[in-house]
Amino acid sequence: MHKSRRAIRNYLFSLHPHDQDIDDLIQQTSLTLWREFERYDRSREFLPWALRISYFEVLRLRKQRSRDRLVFSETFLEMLADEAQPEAATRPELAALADCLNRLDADARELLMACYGKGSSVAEIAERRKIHPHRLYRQLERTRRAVIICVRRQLHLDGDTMPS
Amino acid sequence: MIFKKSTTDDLDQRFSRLVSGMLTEREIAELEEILIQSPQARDAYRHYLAIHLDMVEHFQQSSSTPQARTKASASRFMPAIAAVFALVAGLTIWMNGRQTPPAAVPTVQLPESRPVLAIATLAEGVRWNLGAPPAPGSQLPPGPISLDEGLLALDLIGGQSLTIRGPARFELIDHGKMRLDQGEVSLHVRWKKNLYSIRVPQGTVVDLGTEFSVKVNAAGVADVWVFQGQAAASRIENDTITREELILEAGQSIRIAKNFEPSPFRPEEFLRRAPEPAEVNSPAGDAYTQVIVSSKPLAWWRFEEVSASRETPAATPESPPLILHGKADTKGASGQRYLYVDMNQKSGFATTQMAIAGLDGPNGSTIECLLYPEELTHMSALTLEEPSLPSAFESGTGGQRHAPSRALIERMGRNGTFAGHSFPDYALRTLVRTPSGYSGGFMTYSALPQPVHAWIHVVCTRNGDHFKVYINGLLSDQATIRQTSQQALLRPIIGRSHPLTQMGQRQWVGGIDEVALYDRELSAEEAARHFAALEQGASP
Repeated sequence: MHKSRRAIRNYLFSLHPHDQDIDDLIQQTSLTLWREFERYDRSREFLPWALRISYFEVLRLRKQRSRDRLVFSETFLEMLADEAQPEAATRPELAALADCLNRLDADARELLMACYGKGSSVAEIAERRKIHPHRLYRQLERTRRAVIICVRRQLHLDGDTMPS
Repeated sequence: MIFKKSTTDDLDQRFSRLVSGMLTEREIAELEEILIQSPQARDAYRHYLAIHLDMVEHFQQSSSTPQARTKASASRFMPAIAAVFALVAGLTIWMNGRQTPPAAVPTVQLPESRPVLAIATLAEGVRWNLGAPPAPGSQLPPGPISLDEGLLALDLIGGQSLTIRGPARFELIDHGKMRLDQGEVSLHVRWKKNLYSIRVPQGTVVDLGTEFSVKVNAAGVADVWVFQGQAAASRIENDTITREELILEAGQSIRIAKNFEPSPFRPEEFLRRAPEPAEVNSPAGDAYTQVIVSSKPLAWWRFEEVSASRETPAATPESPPLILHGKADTKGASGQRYLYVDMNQKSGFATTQMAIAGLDGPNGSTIECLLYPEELTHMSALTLEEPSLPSAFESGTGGQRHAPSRALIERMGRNGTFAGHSFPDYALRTLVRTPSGYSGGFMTYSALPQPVHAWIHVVCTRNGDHFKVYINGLLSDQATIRQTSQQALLRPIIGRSHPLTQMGQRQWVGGIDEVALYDRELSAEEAARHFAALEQGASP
């Protein structure tokens, strides 16, 4: 299951793209998978089964939350669920990401560390740096995009195809 | 990916706003509609989110595991340590070797050396004693000038602008003074470095940070009007004895004759500074574009478009965009636009977010660009820095640090000496540091001065044995180096010597265009061919 964790994590986030909920979702999904493991048919692949359970965990969370935090409609969620592609963690993607993060300048790395590593909000970081939050959002957006373009380019050049 | 680039950019922007929680309800509905309609968009969506989560976990792990952080830091230091070790093992650390260029390569023919006191910026209807009217960018040495008619505007090396209306007889004496025997002159201080004095037949006018105008008639009587700031007017006898001095404020005037007298002239009867020259455009035309494409640059930026997020895309599809920082801007007509920066209203620079691989490989590298300097100070056009190395070698002012630099292209100022080297005033310098951030390095200097108001085609090539600089298609200098490829990831800083946001540190003033980086050494033939194509495009 550990190997499939990334696939489950990615799937959950695609259905419910809220940073603040993803850890809870993963944890809850893991508990459910553990609890339901006796019902898992071991003659079949694990990941499709796990993703199906993940889907229902997302639906359960959505029922608990107010509508303004739901993001996408159920119609779209069903479409994503139907297209769910079981994929294990890929070393080339992680290696490409590490290389691309290494190419960032210190200021950009520090921004990502502040947002992702230390869990500070953009508003908090903007106040510490004494700049307008919108300007910081733009910097963050540019940095994310630079990393993602770098990863896409590396995977394309290395022969790996995009997830389809 | 089969998106058009603009669609991918638009989706990435939406995805970023989504994960930041910034999309409005309407924007979420729009995004959902896009994703429902397009399978490729859904693929891009899943991929973007996956990388986003990988980044989250990467930084969360980095911040929670001191050992991992230390190990990661150590691995970043390894290339620098290995480079230093290789140097200690027997390579020359710091030299400035020059070799006689090979006979087969066309090189610069050096004219007789003479100092430069002023650069012509405008010549309207000029007829004078120096032959053909000066083209913008022409250099004027000391000496007497007889301007029979027309309007002449000069940038002085001390930071002033001089406008002269003929008929006039005057002499540029040195960097701090001129003599006006007859005619009209207007002086405007762009940036203050030294005082400037205008000697008139019976006195002197010295600028104190100002704009003022002087007219001298056939009888040697001078009238002065101060438009801005202050000027000091003196009355001098027998060319040597100052008899009287007055400080004039803005709006005041004086006549300098045998005595000080009120000037009978109104302000509108005095010459004002020349109008700004017509907008400069980049000289790069279609022919130039084609030869660049044929040489296959690794990365190439043309500054034709700037997005609302201050990005200008690369002309090479795999290269990152440049981001304009500070007040950096672009200028010029459509199809001839270029990056423009200065020390005041347009202070800034351009850089990529990510470093670029391939500029430190076994086949060498080349930097090619067009430069249009507008000031006579020491300024940096382009730096290649190594952002993955810790910022320990150089520090900016105010406690900020930046990554160490590997290579620099700079235009020097007056006084052709720096760090013990001798070179022409306003020479173009190329510096390669090995390792990155080292306080010395290998240098070349252009054979001729490259002052202001003229586009220069620059090609700097490097391989393991040597590096060369070609100016306008001709080999201008070269130096021997011994540098092994380190496969370093480098990124360009364009318009400044470092990417710190505060001003200073050799800010470029003027235009920069067609920045092309190659993962190999361009040949002398290519440098010449590119310049020839550039000249083609500049023709009407």
